[in-house]
Amino acid sequence: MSEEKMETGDSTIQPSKPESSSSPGEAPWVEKYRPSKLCDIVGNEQTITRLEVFAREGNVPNVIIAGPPGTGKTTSILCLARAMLGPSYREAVLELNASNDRGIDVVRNKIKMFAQQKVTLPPGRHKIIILDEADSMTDGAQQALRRTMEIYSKTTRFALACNASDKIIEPIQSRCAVLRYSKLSDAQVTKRLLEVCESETVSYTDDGLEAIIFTAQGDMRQALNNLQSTFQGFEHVNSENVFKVCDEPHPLLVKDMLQHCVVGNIDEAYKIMAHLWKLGYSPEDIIGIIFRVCKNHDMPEYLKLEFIKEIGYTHMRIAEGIHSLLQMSGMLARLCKKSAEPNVLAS
Amino acid sequence: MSKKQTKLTSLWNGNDYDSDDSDCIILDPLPETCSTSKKSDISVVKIPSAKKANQWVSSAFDGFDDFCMTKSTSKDSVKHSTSSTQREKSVAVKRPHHQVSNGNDLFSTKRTVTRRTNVQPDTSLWSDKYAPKSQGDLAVHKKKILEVEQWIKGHIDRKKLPPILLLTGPTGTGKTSTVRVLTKELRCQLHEWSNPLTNDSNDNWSDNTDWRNKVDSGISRSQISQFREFLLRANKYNTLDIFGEDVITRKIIMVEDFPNMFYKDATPFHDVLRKYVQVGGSPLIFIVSDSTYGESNERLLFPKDLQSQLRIENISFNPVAMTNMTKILTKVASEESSHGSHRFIIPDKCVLESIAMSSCGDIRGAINALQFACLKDTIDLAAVSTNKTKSFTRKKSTTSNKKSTSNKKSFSKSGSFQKDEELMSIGGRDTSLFLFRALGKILYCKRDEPPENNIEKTLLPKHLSQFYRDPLQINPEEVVEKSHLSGDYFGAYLHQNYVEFYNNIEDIVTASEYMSDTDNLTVDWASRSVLQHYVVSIATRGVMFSNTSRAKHNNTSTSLGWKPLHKPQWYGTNKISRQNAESARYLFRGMRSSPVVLQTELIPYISLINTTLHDTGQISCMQELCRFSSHKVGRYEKLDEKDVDLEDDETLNNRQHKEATLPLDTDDVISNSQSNLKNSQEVDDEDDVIIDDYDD
Repeated sequence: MSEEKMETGDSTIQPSKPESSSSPGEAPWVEKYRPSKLCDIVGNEQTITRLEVFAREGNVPNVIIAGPPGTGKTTSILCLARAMLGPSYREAVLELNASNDRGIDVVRNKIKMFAQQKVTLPPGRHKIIILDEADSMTDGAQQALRRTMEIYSKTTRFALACNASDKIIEPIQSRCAVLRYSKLSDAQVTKRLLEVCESETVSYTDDGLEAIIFTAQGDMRQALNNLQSTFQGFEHVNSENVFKVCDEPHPLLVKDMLQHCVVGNIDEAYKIMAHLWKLGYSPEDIIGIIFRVCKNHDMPEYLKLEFIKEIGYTHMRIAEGIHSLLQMSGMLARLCKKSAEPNVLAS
Repeated sequence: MSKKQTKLTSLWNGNDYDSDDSDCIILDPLPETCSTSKKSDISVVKIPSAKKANQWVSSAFDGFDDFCMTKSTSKDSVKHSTSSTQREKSVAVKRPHHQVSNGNDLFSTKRTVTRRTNVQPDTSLWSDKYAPKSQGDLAVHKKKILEVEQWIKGHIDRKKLPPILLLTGPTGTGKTSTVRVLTKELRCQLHEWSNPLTNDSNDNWSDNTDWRNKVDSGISRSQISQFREFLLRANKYNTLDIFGEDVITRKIIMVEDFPNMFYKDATPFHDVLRKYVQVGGSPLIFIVSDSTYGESNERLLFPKDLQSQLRIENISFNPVAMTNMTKILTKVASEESSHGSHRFIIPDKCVLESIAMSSCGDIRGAINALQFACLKDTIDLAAVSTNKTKSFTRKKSTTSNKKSTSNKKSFSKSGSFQKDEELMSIGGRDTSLFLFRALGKILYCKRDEPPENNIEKTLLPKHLSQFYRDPLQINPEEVVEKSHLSGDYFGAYLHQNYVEFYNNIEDIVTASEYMSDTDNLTVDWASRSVLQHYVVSIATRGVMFSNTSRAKHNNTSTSLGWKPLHKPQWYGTNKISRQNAESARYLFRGMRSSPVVLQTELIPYISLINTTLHDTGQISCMQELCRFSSHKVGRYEKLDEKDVDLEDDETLNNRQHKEATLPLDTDDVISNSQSNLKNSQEVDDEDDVIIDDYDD
């Protein structure tokens, strides 16, 4: 999210081309390697190819792009606007995101005034209003938007980006073509990471990249951020360093712990938990990673289901504010109990 | 711009600002803003340095000034009919007439050229361009149009009580278009309220424009008072007869864009309405969109008691029927491909159908999706549809193969499942198609043969051997993620549908236990967003695991057959219960009890002890609440309404059964199939009670 807030200024207007000459630490890599052309965007080819046509032909309908973070929603809108409007980008684009004041009166006035403003554009081109993180707009503001969208459709088009399209009120969804982006696959993220590693001459190991992909969970932005911070912090990307930077318990440890639980070995499992606890991770971090590992752990279906349920209940308690090692070890005990034989428990 | 030119540029001239259509005026209470902007214009001219300082901002002002003037001049010169109050004020503001009109002419000539040579891309949305021009074009069912038409005819000339009509229905079902078309055909004038710009926030959004703005902005009035004035004055004066055409005296006022304050507190709105009814005037039409999630502004703005008090008539629109929708989409697509600025191959029938289906009865959304999909040749999408409907042959694909060879290779690789997703990623606002596919995956629960080598890993200890299941074909978390739906919503769908897929009551017990676990996890709203991931996992895995009849890969031979899937009733039921709670609280104010007590204890008892109630509202409310079979009554009513669409539905239904390789479903089918399945209804109804607590 962090870099989206920087986009409001002029920085976005200049297409940020990758320049390997700059010294490290100058710009976040997410910005530096943000694609400036639609064809450079990773993933969701179906939609992107269509957006490319729009960039050539103009007359783009109002669009909502919905999808998880780090999949290129904002980037594709910016690229589209840049490709379509070219030199008049500056006058013809209004960008508002959650950090801007976006109450009803802004929608009423700022957007309306921008829509009324006259800008000379080539035929078939329209002014574009970009509403980033549109799902954080209040219902009232969205209500105020719907009529504006219709009235000025001759001159102005809207591009909305949001994480959950169901947070957008239906009248607005109906006025837009809803495009859904899905999470990037690990292969897609890896490809881009390798490219970046090459142009930044990062020294990396394969397990380091794997670790980055594990922590990023299909979020390109996070992957690049983690890569950069690991590189700048330790100058070498391996899994150790990555998890140090991301400050997450090492998933391999957690995996071992779960395996101990599957076979009912509470002592070994507790040792790992105590170790993690001593390292100072917060219960939220630990439980989060346990859940993630458990989802992908190779274990019998019944146990996986029961494990997830127990982990869920423990997470609920943690969310209620019970941050204690007792809760965590209690969870381990319950997990071990799942596969234990009944007579073992009786004795 | 002159009449002819606009006609040339845009096929539909009922559009608001550029329209020269005399029947439709937007009464934007502009004069105030006009005058202020005029003043601020002067101040900008005086101080060019200020303009430099924040170029963007002041350029916005300039543009706005221009626009204001253009707008009002065009109104004056083109529209022979403008309300006299507005005229007076706008005349008082002196405008540089010549400049504006010059620019205007230039603009319009340029545009006519583009249209003629047909080289330049056109600039309007398809949903505007192909907006209905006559009754025949409307996608709305004829009976509904007739209903509205009769209402307008019946009330337009009567001078007594001003009648109020409330149009409701899902968004994009043609409510506004129907009114527009009808008023035009009946030669009435349509006045439309549009929320004004508020002055006092000018200084808010441009901090650098100093005190001058504040001083110049003058007195600002609240939207509510402007709205009141609009309603009470809009029909007082006739339009002036300038151009010698016959003056239309019959007026209809339409309000779609409610002042925002009313959403917070609707009482001033109700006051305005009551006043309006007393003072009298033209027929008044309100348009409120329903939402499928049950949150409707109708309940807030037009509570039942107000509707009955002011005798507001309510006509509710249904989602556009599939056949109608496909017809219109085909028309738009073929017209656009032959006459439009951009050449493309007419999309295949299946593509159109799937767009229509995914739009969930929302014609505007469907056209928007179509416009987006058609930009590139739809060959890639057609490939998707082939594996869905086998009847479709390669007729189209051969012609367009040459064109999109570049894309071809990327598609030949990807599996059919992925193609489905890709089509969906362009589809309309409704995800139900996704959803039904994802639900099918979970509910039908296909399993693989266990691999021979690493059998120990998946084996359970002996005492748990009855819980052994063959490995799953799919990863449930992934399926849900690809459905682009929130965990709550997906859970509600699962809960609505899982029972029918089980053969064994014990299995249902286990599955519902897991369901209640998920419910329990999301009780607290503060942690709900975090725990939602668990909900997804437990609900899907629980449902899949509990179904012992599908525990092994080979016993899928006992086929479940095609089962209709339903939308969760929770949202509808919740809406009704809240509506009832509100009306009960209002009508039985004297009882001083909470709505729950009222609904569950007091009112049922009142109905039993047979006291005489004097208020008709109370009686009807009591009847509504105490008719315990109200579920079925509600559904029958729905079915009656749908009856008029029956021929459409039946063909749809049949077709769906034929091609039912996958459980696709649309709204219409759902309501029909639900009424056919009365046996399972008892179970369903009980479910509702459980769902009631779900994710609230």
